[in-house]
Amino acid sequence: MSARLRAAIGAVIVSLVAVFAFAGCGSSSSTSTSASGDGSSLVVYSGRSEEYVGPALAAFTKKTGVKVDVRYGDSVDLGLLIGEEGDKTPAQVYLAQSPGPMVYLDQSKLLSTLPQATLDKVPATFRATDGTWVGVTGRQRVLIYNTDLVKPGDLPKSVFDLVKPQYEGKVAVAPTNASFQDFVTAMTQLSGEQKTKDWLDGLVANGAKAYAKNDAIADAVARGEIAYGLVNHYYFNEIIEKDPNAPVKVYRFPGTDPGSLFLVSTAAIPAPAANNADAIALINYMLSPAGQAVFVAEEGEYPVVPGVKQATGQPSLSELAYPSYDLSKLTDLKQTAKLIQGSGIGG
Amino acid sequence: MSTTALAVVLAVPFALPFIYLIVRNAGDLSGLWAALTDGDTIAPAFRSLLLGTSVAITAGILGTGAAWMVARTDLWGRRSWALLLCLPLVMPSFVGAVALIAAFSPGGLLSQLLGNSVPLPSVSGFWGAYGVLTLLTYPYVFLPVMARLRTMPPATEESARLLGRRPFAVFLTVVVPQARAAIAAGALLVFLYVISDFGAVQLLRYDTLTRMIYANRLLDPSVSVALSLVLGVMAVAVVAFERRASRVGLRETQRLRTPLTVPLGRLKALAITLLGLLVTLSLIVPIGVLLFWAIRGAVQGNDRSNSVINDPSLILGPLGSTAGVSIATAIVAVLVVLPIAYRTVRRPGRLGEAIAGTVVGGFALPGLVTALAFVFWTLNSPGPVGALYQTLPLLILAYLVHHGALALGATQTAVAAIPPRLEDAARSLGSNRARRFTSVEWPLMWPGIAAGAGLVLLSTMKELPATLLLSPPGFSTLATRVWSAAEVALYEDAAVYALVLVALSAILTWFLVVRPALRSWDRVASVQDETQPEPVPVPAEPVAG
Repeated sequence: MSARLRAAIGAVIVSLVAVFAFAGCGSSSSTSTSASGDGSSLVVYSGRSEEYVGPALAAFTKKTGVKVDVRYGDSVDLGLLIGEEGDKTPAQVYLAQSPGPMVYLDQSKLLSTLPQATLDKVPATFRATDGTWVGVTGRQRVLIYNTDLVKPGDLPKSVFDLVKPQYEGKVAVAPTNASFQDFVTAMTQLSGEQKTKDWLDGLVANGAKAYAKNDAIADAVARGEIAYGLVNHYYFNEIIEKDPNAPVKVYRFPGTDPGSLFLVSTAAIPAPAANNADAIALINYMLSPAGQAVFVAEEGEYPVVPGVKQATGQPSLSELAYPSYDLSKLTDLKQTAKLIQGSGIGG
Repeated sequence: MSTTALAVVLAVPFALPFIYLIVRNAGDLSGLWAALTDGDTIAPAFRSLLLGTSVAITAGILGTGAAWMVARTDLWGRRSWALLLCLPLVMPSFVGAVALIAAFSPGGLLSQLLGNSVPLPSVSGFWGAYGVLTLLTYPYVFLPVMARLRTMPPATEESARLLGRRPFAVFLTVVVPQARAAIAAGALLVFLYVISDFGAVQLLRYDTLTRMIYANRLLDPSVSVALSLVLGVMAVAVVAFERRASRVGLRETQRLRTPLTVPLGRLKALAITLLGLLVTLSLIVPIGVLLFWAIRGAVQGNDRSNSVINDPSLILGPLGSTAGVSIATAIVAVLVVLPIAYRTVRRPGRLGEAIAGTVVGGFALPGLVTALAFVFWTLNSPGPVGALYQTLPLLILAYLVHHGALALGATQTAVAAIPPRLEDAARSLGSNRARRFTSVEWPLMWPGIAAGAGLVLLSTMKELPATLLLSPPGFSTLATRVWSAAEVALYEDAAVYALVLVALSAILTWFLVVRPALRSWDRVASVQDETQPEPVPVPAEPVAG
């Protein structure tokens, strides 16, 4: 056997040993966390990004001493994961971007009912009627526009106006985005299925452009690629953070137009962790003034707890006009998907 | 244990995602029926096929041409080219897509740089997805074909050149036919990657089957599960077709001598321009965009304490995890795939084809499906297996199943490159099995195996869905950090992590793939010259991925 081959085999053996040592410590650390039912460490599945949720969770650990193990991922994928795990899920708290995944899990009876005291912290429209999930932070659907391409007089009175000829080829939407789908679901219930269908078909006929995501729309509006974009309000903040001189402004449809829908990110406790004290404590913390302040500061989202201070430069929740809509009615997602797919807007 | 039994046992995990899909569909046959008969399924399925085929053909041409220039010509800096041409593979497709959108969009970075008058190619729909995916996937062809060309006998090529054929004609009429199996295997990987890709088609808005799978996964899970099965069946059919097609008329003749080096002469400048253009579009443009974001972010600064811009030490954890799991997966993949390659190459037949087809087909399922399949199998298994849930061994198993196909094609090519005659010679000289393997077979196979391991390594480094769902709690890789930051439009953080990912992949590829491969190529030459002085053509078994 040549010296070189011996060295190569040696290298393979060393790396194998290293890898298994590495795998070993990884699995031993995870065994200790999976035995976390004793309350020493709380398992959280977070569909909200570490960049934003991390600080709030760190503040919670600092305050209560409860260690938190977080699995970050896409809201929907984590919802599917809990759905697949069923009653074996290690998740003790599940955070999602929107009510959609919660409604999905609730229908499969995989969520526990939260304590009334926790639910009562937020207005009734921002939580599940059966008490299985609660809103944590709020966001509003808005229209952003490029000020080089749009004069203030051109702005539409209602989201329904966007199918008119003067907006032809100028509007960006993100049809596969959960917030857009929630907005369409709400519109169906607020304005009727036929009107919603006509609106979606009208958008297609009017050459509205479909984008993959809200931030792609925000970038495209900032670049001047397209004049208007239907997005969540905080994408405007993101544009301005990236480039304070970006020619972009935010517009809220007046009154109770469905285009101004107010949506929430959500928290729930999966069924196997029902009544877990640490899990409840975490959700209570996120709904406390201190917890809410972290989200407001990090993400420019609206607090959903009355009386918590709003981020600078934004109207307070009480000043905001939006349709009064019960978010736990966001159930018929299949119907919404059919409407969106049927319109052929793609995305 | 016989090789057959071993190969079957090793192939079992690869079948698990398919069985999971069948189990899931069996629970709701009406959903499967609805999805199959719905006209809305036909168009996306057709678009998946169209995109997969177009990208596979283009990447096949680019990858083969580049591999020939690097492996067989007197180009300058061949090792550097070999490295640079591998790296686009590590770019997660959503990063590549975001970077190219940022560069090429109207009002984007290039039009700011060049002025608005310069026409730029469209970056959406079919052409956008086609361009981005071609640039990110040609290394699936480049790497194995380069390995194959280095071990390919020069006899016919020499004759053709002596008879006065020009280098390009020799390439087309002699080199391509001999490397056909490797090219076809690589192009098949490209096809399977493209039909399972979600990141690029989503951002570039091209409605393929995967987009429907993702769009429906919560709204109507039965549709998603049914469409995933359709995708899997489509993949298996294409794999079977490819194996049949590349079998016809394929007789790779072997002669063992130093591979020929073709002097390019005046064409050298052209070759360098072409390779330079490819590397620029596939690597330098995306890296340029990432650098732009990172530098702008660093200059502007931010007040987030968990930003990597403010605390560079945040990189260390993900860096270690990424290197650890990807190296582990590459090694495990070689160990698992090698017996399968031996069995399927040495004893071709229906069983071998079924085993290889199972391994390769797994690559076409979206990572999310593979991940959920392993959730299902682990949690529904008794004690010791169930305890593996969300641990590193399970994560590596999922990586292996998802990426095993990448190692198999190259390893099969490598096994087929060992002429039985050489083994007979070693046996007659009294070498036992172990010694024949270490002194004769391994040195000959190593370039191919290194290429396969390299593909697994680079693909594992950027893997996302399985990592997010199956890793131990609190585990993050560079790819998950890129994704997480990009999700909330913190491009400066995403860019820093992505650049570190590219740098890490460059280092690992250099030390684990390019350098050993080039070194052992020289060894191969000397081993071959020593062991078989007489040039005798030996028919080898057909090889296919």
